[in-house]
Amino acid sequence: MQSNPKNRRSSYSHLWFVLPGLAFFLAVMIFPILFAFGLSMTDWSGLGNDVSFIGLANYTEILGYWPYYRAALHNAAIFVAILVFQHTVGLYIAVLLNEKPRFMEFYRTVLFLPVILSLVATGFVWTLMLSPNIGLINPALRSVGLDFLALQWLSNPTSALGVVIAVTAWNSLGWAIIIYLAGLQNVSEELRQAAAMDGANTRQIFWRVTFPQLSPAFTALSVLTFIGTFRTFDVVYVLTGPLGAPNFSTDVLGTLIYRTAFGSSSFSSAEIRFAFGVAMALLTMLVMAVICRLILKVLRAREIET
Amino acid sequence: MASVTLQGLSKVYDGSAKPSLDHLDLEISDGEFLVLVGPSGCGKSTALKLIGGLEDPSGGDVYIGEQRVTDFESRDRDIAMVFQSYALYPHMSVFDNIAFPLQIAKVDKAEISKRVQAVAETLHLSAFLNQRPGRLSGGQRQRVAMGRAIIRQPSVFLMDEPLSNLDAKLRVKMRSEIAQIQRRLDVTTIYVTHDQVEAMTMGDRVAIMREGVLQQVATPDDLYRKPANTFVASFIGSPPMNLFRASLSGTGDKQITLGDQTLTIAPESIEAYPGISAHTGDVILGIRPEDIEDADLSPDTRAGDTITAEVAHLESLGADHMVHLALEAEQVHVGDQPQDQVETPLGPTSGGLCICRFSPRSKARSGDRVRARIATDNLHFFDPATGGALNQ
Amino acid sequence: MKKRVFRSLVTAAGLAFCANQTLAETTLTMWHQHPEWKSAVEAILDKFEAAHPDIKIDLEEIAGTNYSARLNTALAAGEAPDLFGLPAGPETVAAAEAGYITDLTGKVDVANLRDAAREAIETNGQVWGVPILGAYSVGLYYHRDVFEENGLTPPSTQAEFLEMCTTLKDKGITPMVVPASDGIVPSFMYMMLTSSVMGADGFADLRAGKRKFTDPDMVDAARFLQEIGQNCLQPGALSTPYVEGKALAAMKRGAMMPGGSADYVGYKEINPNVDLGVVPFPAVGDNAPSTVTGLEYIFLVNSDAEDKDAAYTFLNWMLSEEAQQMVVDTITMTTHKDVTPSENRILDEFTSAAKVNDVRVFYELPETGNVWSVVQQNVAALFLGEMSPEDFAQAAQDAVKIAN
Repeated sequence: MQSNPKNRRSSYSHLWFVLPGLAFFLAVMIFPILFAFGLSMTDWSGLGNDVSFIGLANYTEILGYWPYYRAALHNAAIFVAILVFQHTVGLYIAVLLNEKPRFMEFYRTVLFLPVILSLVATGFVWTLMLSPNIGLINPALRSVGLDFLALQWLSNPTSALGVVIAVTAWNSLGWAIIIYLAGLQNVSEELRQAAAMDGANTRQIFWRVTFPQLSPAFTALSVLTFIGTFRTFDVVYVLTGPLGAPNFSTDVLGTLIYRTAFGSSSFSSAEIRFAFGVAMALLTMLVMAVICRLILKVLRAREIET
Repeated sequence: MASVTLQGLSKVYDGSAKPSLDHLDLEISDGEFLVLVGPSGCGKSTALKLIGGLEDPSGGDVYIGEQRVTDFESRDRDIAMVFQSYALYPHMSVFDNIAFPLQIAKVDKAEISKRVQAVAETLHLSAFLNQRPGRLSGGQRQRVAMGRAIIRQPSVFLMDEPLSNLDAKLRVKMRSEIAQIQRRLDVTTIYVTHDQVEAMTMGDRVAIMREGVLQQVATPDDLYRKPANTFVASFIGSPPMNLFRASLSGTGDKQITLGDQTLTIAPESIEAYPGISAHTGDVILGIRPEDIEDADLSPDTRAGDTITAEVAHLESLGADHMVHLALEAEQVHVGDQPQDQVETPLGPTSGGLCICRFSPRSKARSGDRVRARIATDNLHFFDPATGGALNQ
Repeated sequence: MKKRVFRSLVTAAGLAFCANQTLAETTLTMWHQHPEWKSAVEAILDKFEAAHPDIKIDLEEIAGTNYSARLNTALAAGEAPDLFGLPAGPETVAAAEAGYITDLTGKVDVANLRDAAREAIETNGQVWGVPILGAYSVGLYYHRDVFEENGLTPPSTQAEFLEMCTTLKDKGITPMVVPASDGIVPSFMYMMLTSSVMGADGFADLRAGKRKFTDPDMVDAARFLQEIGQNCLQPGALSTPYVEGKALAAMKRGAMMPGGSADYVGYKEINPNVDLGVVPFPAVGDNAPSTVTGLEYIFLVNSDAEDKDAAYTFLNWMLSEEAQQMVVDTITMTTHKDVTPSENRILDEFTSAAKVNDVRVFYELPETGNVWSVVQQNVAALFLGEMSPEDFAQAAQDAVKIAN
């Protein structure tokens, strides 16, 4: 240590280069999280100066707060459904597009468009289309003889979550396609030709040679889907409102936290418990981070090193 | 084991006016090692892909043995291929890479293991069977690719520039290894390369291609000695054959005038190129650098087999002195493209450079005016209009 | 705290700058939650600005449920406008206790308010906000032309309503349009139904703990509400958002719809030919029907407002006869003693509907502030049959906070 003070000084000088980024990160990430954590240990309703420290009481309350579990369960259902959808339909379409069909650019644009469009706008259009009163979907179903499918989509507690999943799937399909397409384009043509030479048929080439090369895409997509579906809010808010109608059957963590922190009614703020909402948001973040880490650990282990 | 026959094999890619492969006719006999060589874009890789069934031909047919396989899938052709990139499966161990063709063919596990071990032994890969290809060196990967090709004991090997990713030293080593393996297995092999040294050293026969058109197919010796045209002449041999515009004269004793110097053509050359006996006037004269020697080192020079010129530049390679003589003659360059056959016009100060392989005992130095003796029994003559050899 | 210091510095600098100006002009920012009143309110504001050229009102409308989220956030961040609306009662008191608003006692003249309105805005003798945009009653709108064509008269009892419900459905007409997605309209229906059972005095008893939502006759209100929800509404009522419901109602896609006096402007805007009448919402059993009445959002002055005097001037002008006449003629009912609508049949009908029984909306009173949210959140379960009327009533009762 003493022997080489010069060396030591230079080994810290690089920190100056990190400083601007670090300062920014502290200001917009660390500080707000710490502040929120402090807030979550109070009973602040969101209005006024009536604040007292209650320790981890909010967190212990969440553990027994069943709407939280109900919402998380809905998130989980959406996650599983979307995950399966993206790794099947998304992958399949990506494979089709990777064959460079005619009008490929067109298909790609059309399929990616929902990702770019604001869900608030498209979600609103979906509610209009799905409306049993003015919507297009039910008359369309009836006209092709599928009367039994002409349901009150969003009013039925069982189908409402299905609709939320369907709209989310429609919205996020573009991501799956783009990520898988990028992965597919990284799989060298020669590798597939080699497999063909080695006697593999199209299916064997895909599953034994191409698909294993897609594991980084699989990992990325799974993690993105996990994060995306567990922080979903806009689809539910637009399709079924802040109450996750009907009767909370589409209530997710996003709407629950929103409702708790900001209220769902313009007439009464009696239900608003801002600090409790913050505690739910932080707990959700923590649990998600842990699960993300696990998913990454499991999936990364399966990836190949090149 | 089987022969391979190509009949009028053609390929035109979408959006391209010129065919990448233009009516290729070629017969490769059973167990033969044929090298397809040519500059990049000459159609050699395309030909290989068509034989392998990786692409569909625009015309023509491929036969393996007696069987027409033009419409067969790759996997049904009984062909193995070694790719330039090796195309090893990165997610599989070396063992699985080599075993893959057998696994696909649902060969019994014990049998697979036995055969993989045997192949690995031959290729010195036994120590790496459990590793992923990503951990191997270039040469080792190359051998894995070979292993995967030979394990299935196919009728035909296709090799697409398999050595081009290796460094020079390793390339020399692998060159002979591949040649040995091929000879031992005695499998018909079609080997694509752009490297004339590989072509000359490995192939039983070499097919030279240019612009999708086959130029000449012959044994390495024949290619060297009897090039079919100026392209082959300048492609084979290093440094390439010197090509100059020259003028033929005389009827019995033929003379050739190069700039202001005249050489007497020896009968052996006339025998090799009977086309010149009736020909007078412009021709393209070809002289290999190794056929030119410092006249001071050749005691028995005769009149009409020497030229005098200034040494423009000298490269000493130890065993040889490559001497660039400034000749006042119009030099002919043959590029990759047909239209690249350009003649440097003879200016007042500039001329052509004639490369000569002098013995290291030669005392010639840059700036010296030297007398060079030319082996007039080994001259080459080409039609100035078509570039074709005047050998008929 | 730091923010305040910073603000005062900015203000001081601003004042120094303004002192040089010949005509000092104040701009008051103002938020409210009725975008559909935009043109009506702006006409009134123009009148005010003409009378007070030195004060400008900068109005922003924020729709629906976003309003409270945005306002609460802005209040907590110290960035709320100078003037904003909140429901009278517990919401206003909470804002006062939080120190967000200015005590208006003695600053604004409330002498001309009707008694009920003055009562509603006075808490322990203090005034925190004033009803400058009037009051509303909620009843049942019906399409007069549809009723006439089908030879029907508006129902006034449970039996009549349910029978008409069947009749209309048989004719292929949706009996009633209710946007139930956010639970707000069904919540109003529950207020009207329970009010028909307990009346204004019963409501006082309920707040004193002497009457309960779980009393058998009160449970009947929940049961009636469930019957309506299950049999009389448009398809997909539980997912119909407020705007769609309003449009469906205006476009005659249902014969009736519960609504407030202020909704008429909106119906008229969607469908200028709409021919509506108003009656009180049918009563439970043989009781007399009841309307409910509340103040529109009352307006409060931000405690951070820079020019409070200008705000007082504005509020006082808004309470004047001139302004209130415009409110009553173009928007909704007034709270001014001496102002009557020039000609407004709908308001007349509401007034007469409210004659029999009229109860204050639950959310304006501290004891029943929570009942509102609970009913709003549980009504979907009630309609879906996942909650019994008894349990529904129990949940409402549990939300009552009886003052000690």
